[in-house]
Amino acid sequence: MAKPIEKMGPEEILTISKKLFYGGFGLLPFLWVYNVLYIWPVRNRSDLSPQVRHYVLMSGIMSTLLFVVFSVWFGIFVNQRLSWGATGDALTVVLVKGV
Amino acid sequence: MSAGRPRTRNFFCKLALGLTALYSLTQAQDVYDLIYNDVGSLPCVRLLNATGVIGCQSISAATGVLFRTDSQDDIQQFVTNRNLGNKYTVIMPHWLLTSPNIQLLKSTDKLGAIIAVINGTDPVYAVTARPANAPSPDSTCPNCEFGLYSGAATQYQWNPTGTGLLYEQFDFPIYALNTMDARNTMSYNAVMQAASINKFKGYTSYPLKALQFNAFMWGAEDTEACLRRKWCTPLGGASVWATPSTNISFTDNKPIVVVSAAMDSRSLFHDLTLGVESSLTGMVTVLAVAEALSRSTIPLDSMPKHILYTLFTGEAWGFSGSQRFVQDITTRAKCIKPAASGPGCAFPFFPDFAFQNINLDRIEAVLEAGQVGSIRSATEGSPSLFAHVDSIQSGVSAALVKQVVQMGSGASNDTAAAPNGAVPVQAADSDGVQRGLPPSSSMSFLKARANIPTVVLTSYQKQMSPLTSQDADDSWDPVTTVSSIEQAASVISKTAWLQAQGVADAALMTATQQQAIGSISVDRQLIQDLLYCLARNYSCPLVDRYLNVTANPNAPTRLPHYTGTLYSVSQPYPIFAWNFMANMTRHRVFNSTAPPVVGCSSKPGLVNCASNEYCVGDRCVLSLTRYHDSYGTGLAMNEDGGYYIKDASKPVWTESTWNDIGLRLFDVTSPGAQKAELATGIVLTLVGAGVVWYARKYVAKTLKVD
Repeated sequence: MAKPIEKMGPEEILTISKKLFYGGFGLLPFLWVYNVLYIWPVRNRSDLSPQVRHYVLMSGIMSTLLFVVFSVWFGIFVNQRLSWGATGDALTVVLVKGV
Repeated sequence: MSAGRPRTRNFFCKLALGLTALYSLTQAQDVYDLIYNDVGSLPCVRLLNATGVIGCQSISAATGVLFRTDSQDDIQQFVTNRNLGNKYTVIMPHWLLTSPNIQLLKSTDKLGAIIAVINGTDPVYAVTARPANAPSPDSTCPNCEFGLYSGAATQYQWNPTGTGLLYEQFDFPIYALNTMDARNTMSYNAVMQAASINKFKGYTSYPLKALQFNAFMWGAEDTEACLRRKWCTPLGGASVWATPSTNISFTDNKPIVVVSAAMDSRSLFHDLTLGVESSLTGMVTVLAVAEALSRSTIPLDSMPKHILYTLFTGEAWGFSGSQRFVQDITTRAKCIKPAASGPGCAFPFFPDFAFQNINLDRIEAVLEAGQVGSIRSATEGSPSLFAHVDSIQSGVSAALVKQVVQMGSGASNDTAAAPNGAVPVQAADSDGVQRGLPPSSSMSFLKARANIPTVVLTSYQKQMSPLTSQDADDSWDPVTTVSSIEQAASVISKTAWLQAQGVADAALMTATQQQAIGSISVDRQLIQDLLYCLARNYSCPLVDRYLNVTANPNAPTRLPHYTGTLYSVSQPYPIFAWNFMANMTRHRVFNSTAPPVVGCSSKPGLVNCASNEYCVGDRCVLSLTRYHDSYGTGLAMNEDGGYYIKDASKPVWTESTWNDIGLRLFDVTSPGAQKAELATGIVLTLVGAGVVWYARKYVAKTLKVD
């Protein structure tokens, strides 16, 4: 069983947090969400490097930003898909019959 | 059981297992049969055009307790009845299916589906019970947006009482019942019997009989989107053209006289579309004209002008057939990809190019038979035929319309004129009002060349028959209708004959011509037979002579005159028209004593026709009769066989693809009982979960298992 984060040393936490933050740019935005949730229980540990706090904060900002962007896109897509004609169909994975 | 017989036991085990499997399979079917009774169906389906959808769609399977309404009062009572707390399938006679009634029913939130009865054994649905003034469900000017006057600021409205029901869209199923054949009578009986049980139970004491409908249409938005997703097929089929001039060529400079009619029509339920008055009377007229002219003692192919018969399909959908025909003879497309074999072309697709021998510039007259059946309410007086001409260039057609009226009047004393007592013929503008041409195929010719003398013959002067595009346009008067068609065929055949002979004034005919025109007479019996075959029973002797239909174990009876979808669902009426016309226009060698080659169909292999001949009704004939594809001219086919919109201002009608369509009858319990069933289920689940939880705990404790 994996080691719980509470038993990890500050170096290890920094490495994980850094990897998760940069990993998010590899089209894996959920890593940012995960970064925040994973580090959250130990955020106030005094032995942590301030860089961890920085990565977690940036991850939080990035995931929130993307959430807003995706939500807006989804809203636009759902409502405007039919008016985009062939482009709209091309962007749709499963075309809904009958509507 | 003895242990010494394991093999036998094994066998019995297997047998038992097999039987159990078989039993459960059959039982599954039994259970289905116990619950459901599948009923044959006549649906209203979804169609698409350039701007949207029309017809019926239901996203999820709709169900409804059968509720019978026989009158407007019954519908009102249904709407106001507060004891009805379910979704209902409202059964009504077809004339009650009107927009206001549909709105009224929808507003109650009790409407699941509608069943319209066109014909039934119950007196309420009898033909005699139909109200005389039931309006046409078509628009106030059918197809006028694609007609000759589409650009005009105001158009004359030929169908002023049209309700436009056909152009509405419905988000619930509408089906028809019609006792037109054995199978559909069974459906009718099953549904009406179930409805009677419900009525007997006062629609309140459950279980009640309900119908479930499947009518899920794939197509959505409009034709453009639907074609892109390949969820619909162009409306279309086969037009038929024929000419006795088997040697006609584009450059022979011989003028052409066109005799034309539409073959198809439309109505809400496509399986029921007959359009006896809407189009069949015109089609029968042209077939009768071809038969009458085939008797001419002066060979038709030796006349100074060609005679060309055109029978169009797809006319009910923006004159698709005639517009495509005219487009094809005028554009004279070059073949890009030749067909693998034969004279045709793979792209653009043409089975052959014989139509390119027809020169639009040489057409000197168009004679069209429209609604000529005089099937109308008694208030409109005795039948009469009216010759309509274009109002923009009326002078062009003046001589032609004069000749048509002369041929029908019986006023002149020459032998060509009709006998007294026949249906009178008059110019439609004889009352001094120029209304122009009614919606007709001729418009497609005039759109391409405005100065062709054109006459459209109909039995109305100011207003189309209210039967136009009705599902109930399925009957005719055995005397009036036949006489009216007979006169129309007589007038058109004689006018076409005189035109083809180049005779402007019947009084100036030579003695030979006088004698020859007397040989043209319309066969009244043929008209009766054609009406019967094409509207009642396709397995009649006349059709059988050409197509041997009765050899089919499922001999067809009543067949629809809805155009169908291009290259996929085609109707048999063009096939009969082709065979009939091929026979009537066949090349004849006059004064020849050689017997015709017979047996090409009955003795295959023994009797073979020459390569340029066709086997028509067991006989080898040389004939220039061809099918011509018909579909909206706004549509075009691309090289991979798909379709796209080329010009959205022209007709682009398509029909949606659908999942299985069907209805089934089943018993439904009361809404209260259904809720109780659900509650019982939930309680049982909870109790079960509790028992299991407790039992596990008990077992663990007793056996001391950790």
